[in-house]
Amino acid sequence: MNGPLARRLITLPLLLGGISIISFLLLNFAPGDAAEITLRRQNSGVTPSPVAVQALRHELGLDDHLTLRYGHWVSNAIRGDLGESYRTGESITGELFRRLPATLLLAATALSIAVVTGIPLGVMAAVKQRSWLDSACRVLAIVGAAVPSYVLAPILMLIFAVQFQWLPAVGYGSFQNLILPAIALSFGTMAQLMRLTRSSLLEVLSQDYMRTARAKGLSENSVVWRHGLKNSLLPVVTVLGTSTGYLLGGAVIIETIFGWPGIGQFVVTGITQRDYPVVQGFVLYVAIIFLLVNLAVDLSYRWLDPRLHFNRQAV
Amino acid sequence: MEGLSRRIDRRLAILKNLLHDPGTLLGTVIVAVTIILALIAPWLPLQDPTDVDLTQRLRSPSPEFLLGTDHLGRDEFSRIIFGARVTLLMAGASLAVVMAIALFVGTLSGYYGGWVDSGLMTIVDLLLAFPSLILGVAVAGILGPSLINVMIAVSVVWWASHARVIRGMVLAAREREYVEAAKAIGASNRRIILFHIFRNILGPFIVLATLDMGWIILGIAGLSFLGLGAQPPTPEWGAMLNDSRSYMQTTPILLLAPGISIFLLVMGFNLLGDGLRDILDPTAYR
Amino acid sequence: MFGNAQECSRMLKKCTNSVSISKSTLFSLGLLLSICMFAFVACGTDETPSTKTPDTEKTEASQPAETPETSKAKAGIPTKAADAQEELVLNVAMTFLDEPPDPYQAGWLAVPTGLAETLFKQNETLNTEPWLAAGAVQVEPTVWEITLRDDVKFHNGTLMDASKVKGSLDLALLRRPGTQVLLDIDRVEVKDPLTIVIHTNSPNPILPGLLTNQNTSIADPDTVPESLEASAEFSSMTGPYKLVSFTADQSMSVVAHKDYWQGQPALDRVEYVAFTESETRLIALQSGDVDIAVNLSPQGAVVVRNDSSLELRKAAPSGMLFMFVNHESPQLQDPLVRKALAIAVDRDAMASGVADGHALPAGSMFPPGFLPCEDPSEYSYDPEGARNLLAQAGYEDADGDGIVENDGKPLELVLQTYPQQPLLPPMLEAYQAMLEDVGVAADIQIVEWTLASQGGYDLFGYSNGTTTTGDASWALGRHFLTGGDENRGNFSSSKVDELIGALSKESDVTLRREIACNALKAGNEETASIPVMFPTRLFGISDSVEWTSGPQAARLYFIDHLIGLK
Repeated sequence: MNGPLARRLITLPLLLGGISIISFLLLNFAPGDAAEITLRRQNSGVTPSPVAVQALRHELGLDDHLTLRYGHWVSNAIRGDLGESYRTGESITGELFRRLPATLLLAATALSIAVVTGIPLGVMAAVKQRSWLDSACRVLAIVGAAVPSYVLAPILMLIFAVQFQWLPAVGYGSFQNLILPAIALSFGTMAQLMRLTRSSLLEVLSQDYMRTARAKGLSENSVVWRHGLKNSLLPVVTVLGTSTGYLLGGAVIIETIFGWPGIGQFVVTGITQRDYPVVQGFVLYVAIIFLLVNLAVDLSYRWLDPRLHFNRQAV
Repeated sequence: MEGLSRRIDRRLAILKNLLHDPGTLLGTVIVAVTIILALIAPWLPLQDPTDVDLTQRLRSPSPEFLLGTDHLGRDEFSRIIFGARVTLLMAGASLAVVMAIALFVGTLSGYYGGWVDSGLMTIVDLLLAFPSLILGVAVAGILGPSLINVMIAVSVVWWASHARVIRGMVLAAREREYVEAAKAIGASNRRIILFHIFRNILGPFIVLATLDMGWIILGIAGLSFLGLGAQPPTPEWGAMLNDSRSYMQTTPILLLAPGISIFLLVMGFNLLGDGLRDILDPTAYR
Repeated sequence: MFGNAQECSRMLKKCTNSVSISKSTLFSLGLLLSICMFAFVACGTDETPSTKTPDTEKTEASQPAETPETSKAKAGIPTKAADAQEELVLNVAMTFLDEPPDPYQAGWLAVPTGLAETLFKQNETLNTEPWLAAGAVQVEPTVWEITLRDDVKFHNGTLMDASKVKGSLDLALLRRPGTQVLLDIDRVEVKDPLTIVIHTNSPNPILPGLLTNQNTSIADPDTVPESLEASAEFSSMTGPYKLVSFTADQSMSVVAHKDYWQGQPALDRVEYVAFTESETRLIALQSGDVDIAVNLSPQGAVVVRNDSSLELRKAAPSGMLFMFVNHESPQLQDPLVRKALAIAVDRDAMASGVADGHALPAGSMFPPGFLPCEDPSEYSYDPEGARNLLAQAGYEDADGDGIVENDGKPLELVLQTYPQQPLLPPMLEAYQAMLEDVGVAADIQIVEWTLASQGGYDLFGYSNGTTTTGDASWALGRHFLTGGDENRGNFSSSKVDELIGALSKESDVTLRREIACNALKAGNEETASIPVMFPTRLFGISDSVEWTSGPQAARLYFIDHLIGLK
């Protein structure tokens, strides 16, 4: 167990380094002169003189060698300084921290909804195979995988917020504001989870050791829930890992539609405004979070690995 | 000779199986019809999808405009058909690039192993560290809004996870007996790869590609929806969805037409991919 | 059991090999994470992120934006709790809240939201009348004496007097170069506690009109923060509402200024939220999240009309939708090309088609009747003429692809605009088709409005007021004068500069009009910019809003002390 885990820990700094290089290069290849844009903003839109631009370039170190600039950037980033927005001059790190809770709340809620509805539905569909419930679930799975969130979201908004006025359409602050965006975001993942739970449970239920469990006289319930589900959850749970990335990404679109003040909305605004430091800060930030989450997941994966679990039992 | 006829028989059997399952049949029909329509679109008796006519804005469906007109008086029906063309072309091209890179990297990694494997997989992990849509958004945002840039963004980001999958397939295939046998005979690596490995992973590879087509279409449409992809007046379903939001309440067909089109096409590819998977790769999880 | 292990490991291998990523157990982690998130967010305050609050009064800053319950109650939909002594809160959906309401840099936000006021204002007929000032006398061609009201209190309770006003004006001139260019003031002096004396560099007969510019609003100079980028401090201004909190791009909260000089404001609080898309503003209005939505699209107007609980209010056009011409673009150096682009616009179709009738075609930058010019060289739609002009400039379609070229280089333009004004993107799309008709190819990019000053385009779709101050010299100065505040395309013509200079010195009204017409004509001849249409401003309000004063004619003003709730 130490082998792969140790390897993982060793590659971590390499990955972090690689992420930082990619993020840095993103900003580098972006058009626009940082010094000129900053001066222009400070002077209420007046075009700055070339002399002033050159002076600021020198001061900011923009004429230094690429590796030197990368070094500066990394040392700043480690201290938590991701630079300032071209548009507002505000600290990017500050804004990211302020907005991150909103996005995490949305993604976590969507994930929870997907898990809480998808997995039980999948189990029921597998158990009552070929019933109407099974067929309905399969249709739902197919639809859920194909309907984009930016089609579903306006439709939900129109029905629930405008037509029936049960929920607020846009904004942030209360629990009701969370419902529509979270549902819109969770739909695809829910369908996928349901489908996967169903098929993997079906596969597991027909295995030999299931027959053994039944032969031993265990109740059907116990067979399904304790033995079947536990073993079939592995591929399901694997997919949950992918889903996190998808949810974080999908949140970008949902946030734009619902006016949800998270980091997704932040980066979209940054893009349309050519606010490249924002885009770059965002990429770095999200990548690191993603990396850390995946690492934590990997660690717990080793822990939950049934092979090891099982080896202990066997002895 | 016998091998050849056996292969033909198998192919025919696959075809027959394809057409039996209702889901797969539906998927095949949808995909085939869309591809055909996209190919022959310029020769169909359709209105010019970019023809602006400000006196005909937001009309309801009529014999002249089968789905009505959009906010600039353009024929919605022809925009949908030509939009299929753009969407399929862009998604197909992205898919080809993604799959090519993934195949190359995955095969090298899986077959040779060792340092090559570790090195390539570290790069893969690096890319996988970024949620793909977000990196796609960032790349497209910095390159600037255009359909080509969206293709580049998607291609750059998407191949990583497939490389891993292909690597797995190649790893499994490598252990098979005929590879050992081929090595024993002294066949060159390249020959082994091309002949045995590829043939072996062809099935799952096709399944992967077909299933992925749906995701790529959604990804490109999503980026266009954010304003990063197709620019006016190019008819593309994601961009059309974005435009339709202002007219959602008065002319909902402008939202439903591209929305349903995307949904149908993605569903079609998914169903087809599922069906293919049942036939070509029955050991995989459904 | 042995078989079990083999099964397990085979499955695991399949997992890791045939599924994309070998991560797992995010289930428990995710659940844990979401529980933590809920706790974190729920236990934290209800404040929206990045809230800046002043260290002075902090009334109800930590209360969340009005919940759907109370807004529904206002809309007449029965809800659970009926609060009798609920404070009167108006919710407004704005387009822009991207910079703090600084009285000298962001007067465009401070004045309409009821925070700031200027010495003079424009009335319903767009003429100048005193506001914070009591009167003005031009004692000499370059000297104006302005008397002030004696009953105006700043938000912090201090009385407004001449020294404060002088301090404020000095800061306004210092903080924004464009204001200095506009006012051309030499110095401001205090004559007595209620009179200031302004010395201008050259004779300026319309100074009061210029002092309606929202960036000259009056604030207590002792409360103005050092720089615009310093947060947590807000200037103390004079309007009926005072600022409580501001979150860029999201929300702004203001409370009633109890000592407002025109009397107690009709509301206790106003909550502004920003949605860049008009569709979102409309939906917020329909679902009761807001009471007023500004800047609706023509489609939004249709929806509001069809909704019995909503009302449509319109304000006469006071600004234009136009396109900046980037005078530094190599392709647009030839005045023939520029003129061709200007007459390729079918303005009637734009007004009736793109704006759905909620606009007037704009042949020049002023609405009809503003300047009685005989021949201001207005642009009329002439695609044939456009093609001829292009041909004269050397552009022919040699290869028959529909696009004209000159020396093998096809004429391809970059058109940019921003999405917050809902008519601009479709206007550019329609224009793209009109350009195609005359053989010019165009690429459209939707960007942010600040990019208009940064070049990189050929034409930039924009929206701007032109009748502010009631005098033509204001808009001419901003748009046509070299270095003007809104001259983002860098138009520069010595002839036009001369005319505008002469205009600023002329006192006789008739002569002023004549010079203005000449300046306009000169600018149009060189195609300084391309006007397209004058849009009617569309407001959607819920039927619980009491707004007899309606939207005022001048776009500078919106929320005042009279607007209230039923």
